[in-house]
Amino acid sequence: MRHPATIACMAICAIFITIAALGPLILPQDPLAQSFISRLKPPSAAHWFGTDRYGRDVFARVLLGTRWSLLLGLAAPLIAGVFGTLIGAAAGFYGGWFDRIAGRLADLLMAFPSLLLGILLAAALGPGFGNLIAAVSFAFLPRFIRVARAATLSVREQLYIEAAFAVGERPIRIVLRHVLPNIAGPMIVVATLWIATAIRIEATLSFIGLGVQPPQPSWGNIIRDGLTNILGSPWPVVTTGLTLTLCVLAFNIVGDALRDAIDPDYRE
Amino acid sequence: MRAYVANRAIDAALTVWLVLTLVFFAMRVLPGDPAIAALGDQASSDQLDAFRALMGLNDPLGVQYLRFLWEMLRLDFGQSFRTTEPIGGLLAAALPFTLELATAALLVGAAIGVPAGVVAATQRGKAADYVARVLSLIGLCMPEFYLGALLLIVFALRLDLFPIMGGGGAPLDRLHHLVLPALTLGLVMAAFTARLTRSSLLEVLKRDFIRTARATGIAERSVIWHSALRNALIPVVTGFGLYILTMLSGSISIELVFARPGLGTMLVSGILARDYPVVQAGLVVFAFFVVAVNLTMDLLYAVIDPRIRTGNA
Amino acid sequence: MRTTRRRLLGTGLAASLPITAGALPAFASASDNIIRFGLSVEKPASLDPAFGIQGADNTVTRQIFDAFIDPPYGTFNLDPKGMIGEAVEAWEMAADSRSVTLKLREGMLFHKGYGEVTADDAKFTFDRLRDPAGGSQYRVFYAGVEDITVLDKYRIRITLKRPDPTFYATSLIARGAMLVSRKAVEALGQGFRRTPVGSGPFEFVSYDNERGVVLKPFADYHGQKPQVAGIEFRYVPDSTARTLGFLKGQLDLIEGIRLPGWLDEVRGQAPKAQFDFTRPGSQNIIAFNLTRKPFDDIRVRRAIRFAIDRKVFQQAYGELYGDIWAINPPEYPGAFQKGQLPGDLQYDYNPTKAKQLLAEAGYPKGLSFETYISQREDYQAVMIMIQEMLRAVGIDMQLRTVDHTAYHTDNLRDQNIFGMNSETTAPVGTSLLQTYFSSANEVRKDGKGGRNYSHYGAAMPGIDAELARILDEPDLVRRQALTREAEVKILGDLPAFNALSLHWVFARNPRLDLGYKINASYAYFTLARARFVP
Repeated sequence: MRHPATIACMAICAIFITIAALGPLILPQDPLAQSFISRLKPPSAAHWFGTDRYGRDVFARVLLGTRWSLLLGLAAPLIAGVFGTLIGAAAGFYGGWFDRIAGRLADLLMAFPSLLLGILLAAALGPGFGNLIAAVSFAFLPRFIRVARAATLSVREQLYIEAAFAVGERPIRIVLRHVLPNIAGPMIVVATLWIATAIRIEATLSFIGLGVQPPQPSWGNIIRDGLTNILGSPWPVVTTGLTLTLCVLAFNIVGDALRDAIDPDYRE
Repeated sequence: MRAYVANRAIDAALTVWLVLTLVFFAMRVLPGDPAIAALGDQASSDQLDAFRALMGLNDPLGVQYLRFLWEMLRLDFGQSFRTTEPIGGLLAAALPFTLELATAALLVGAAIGVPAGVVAATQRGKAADYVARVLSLIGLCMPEFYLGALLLIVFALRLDLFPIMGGGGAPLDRLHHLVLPALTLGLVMAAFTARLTRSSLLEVLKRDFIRTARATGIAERSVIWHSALRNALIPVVTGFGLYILTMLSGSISIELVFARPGLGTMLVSGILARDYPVVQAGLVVFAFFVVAVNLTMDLLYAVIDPRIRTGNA
Repeated sequence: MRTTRRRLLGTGLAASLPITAGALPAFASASDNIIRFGLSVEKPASLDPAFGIQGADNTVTRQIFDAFIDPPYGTFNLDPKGMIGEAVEAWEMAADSRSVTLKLREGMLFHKGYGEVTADDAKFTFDRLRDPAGGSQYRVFYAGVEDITVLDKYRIRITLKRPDPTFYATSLIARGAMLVSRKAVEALGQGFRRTPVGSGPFEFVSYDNERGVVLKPFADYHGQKPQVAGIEFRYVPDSTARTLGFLKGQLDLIEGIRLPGWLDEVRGQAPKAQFDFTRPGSQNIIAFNLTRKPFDDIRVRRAIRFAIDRKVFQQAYGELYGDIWAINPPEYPGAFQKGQLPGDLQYDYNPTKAKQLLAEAGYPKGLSFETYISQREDYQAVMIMIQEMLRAVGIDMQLRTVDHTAYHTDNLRDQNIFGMNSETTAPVGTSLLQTYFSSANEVRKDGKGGRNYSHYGAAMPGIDAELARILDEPDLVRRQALTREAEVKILGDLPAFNALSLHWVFARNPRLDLGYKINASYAYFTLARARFVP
């Protein structure tokens, strides 16, 4: 946690989160405003990332796009985490047929890389940000179910659970009071680890055309649009992609560091 | 062994069923009215009725579901809404482009990733190790479509060494078109492979038989490249299934970057054109792939590692 | 590495990444004497000239089929005396403008052994175009035809229900009116769309993904034989790939990209490239669907029109842009010029008025609607600019992008509410009015209607009576006056509007000589006289 690179990455994550939270308040220019006098400009003091074919400021668009990326980056692991924890904990705690079915389904879906499952589901659901969140959350779900189930199984062996049973506490109460608080730690770690992947998936899906729809800017669709115009100016692609890579990198490293700090034994 | 194979086959069949079910319900139930999803919310009621009749959407959901499963299992994908071409033909035209991309990327990934991993492990803590690790970290974080776009800008647009777009025609031309996309995906895969090779090799180098080999005076180079690497590569090779699947998902956006007429392009243009049967077929084929790759890898493990056959692992 | 390298690139590019001499445009005459023409669509949709779905198909069919007559190549000069006869040796409008007689050239042959061209084929061609059940989008130009009679083996007479002095200009030129073989159409059925048979200078050879549509000179062509060894129409929908294919010399001709800034980019990198502009070019008609909310309200429609700023288009497109004041572009004979329209019907940019109208219509806080748009770049760019203009007055227009062919198919099925159609017509004042505003051409759910996407004349009283009066008028000047009156009515009702003229542009290898200069044209032109020059 103390490594300078980790600290730098934490600062970068904090900056991205701040940008996303403040959103329109800190935009240097209107990201949708067109100006044909200053189109396809290379980076300059006035336009840090240059301008696109409509003369829109790419930096402002990237800043605004941060919102979508982080919104999905945080929402998908959160949603998958909540549902995955509940299902996994129930499966692990109660066992029986529910455990067999939920565990088996989760295992089968684990066969799919989360990006592929996300793309397939988003393709089936159609374009739109709401669908995107649904698709990616679902793609993550089996991972969370599996971790929650395993964590619950080990917690269930603990003496205090047996003690709780012995004093006649109702199972639902045991789950709420003893199981969930004890597996929350590892679940948060897992959720953190998936933020970077979620951001990447959002970018990929917006690039494909399934995510955020123009003229709302998102990192993925800025790159897609820039790609149709690389002859005029490669800058929107280059700068936006750099931002995206930096963000994924920072969240990855922070996630790894957090995992090592809290749970040195955890291996994906 | 027979029981193991049977179990794997049942798993595969279950996965196919699960994915078909997901696709079916995602396309029909979740977005509300599938006819509206397909035709847009401005479509008139007449159009919606016509569409529902055409798709058999007026039948009970259970009937539709069974019919869908039956059609998909027979690989009967129907025809495109838009061009009325049979989808089987579209798939047959698109598949080779995706398959050759995945194969080439696999080779590139192994050719770069394994040596890089070995160097990093043997030079542990030194500059080479550091460089390899940073590069592979960046490779893991950089979305493949961005890497592809950068390679396109530099090698096709600026240096003019490769064609910009398309899949190519004659065999040599096709190979020429393949280089950049395969390099893109291959580099991403090399990042995975290098990482895994490094950690696996470091693990092996700690083991007793390596110490013994070194003690008996066998040349260090031989120790590493023969004894150690052979053992270290087992997890790498068995990880190939995961790589192939990762590449399959990466191939979709890469095909878009390089305008390759493969499966991913077909899927995405199907989505754009709201060509329902095409999207459905594309999804199902991807799912079949995942299952086939997993099943193959499972069976390969069994051949490689006898413990699995008896069910002890 | 050359000294010209810096000049080749915008300053931004040169400062950023190295470029080698390899990216220099390599214009040369094709060694195999074959023209390679890059088209902007994914694949041919229909090579049957009566059923073109996308403009790019016309570029192909124009080479395969003979028109009956056509204005002198590269012009829209409609002087009857100057018209070129392709399949026709002589033609004559009757003095009362109620009939026209065509005499075909004798001994013309169809490709692929389909025999001699006869008057029966000519009649068949027109009957097919005007068949109400046939679904040709050119049907509207033949609505005034009463009957077609075969006079002898080479002559037909077309009689009209009403006098029409411009019939030859709307209906006999190379729009839909391209001569097809009855035998081939009947033998091939739907297959005719994929393997067309005509009597033109080039015949169809094959289509595949790699080489696209391949044509070769027709050995028995009745006119002057083409001087090239063939044409390959390559399908390159990606605009970057098409431009680069041109810059690298792999494509001799490409459909230009009508995007802001494109012309300057290509000029910057290839100073020798030739550009052919077809003026006035395409008219970008945007129709409000009067049967759907909120466009049933005239105040909303007017608000949107007032929100559209011509100056933005002009800045964006430069030389490719043409102003439109009414429906017909000012280049058409008798059309409205700037400042000639009464009241505020010129719809000068006025965002204040737009907001006020929206408030009156019950949308003081603005409104929001979803529409879809083709992925083709010129459609996209215009709509993205309009989206931004509308945002300035509080209208949130969400755009959904769909494939170009799907876009048109869906528009023709009445699925859009604010759809744009880009079209080039002959400079005849009635063309656009008939196509987009006559109730006879109302869009239909089954896709077999016409392109009156607004339902004008059906959802609300339209200009059918005015159109009828225009079509009854044999005098050209009176016709033009009546046409302007109809335009005034349309501008008041505003079921649709013409947002801008966008000239078509083709980039051409300077070694390729078309044999004539293009000043005006539809979006396609004949390559019969093209040749490579050293």
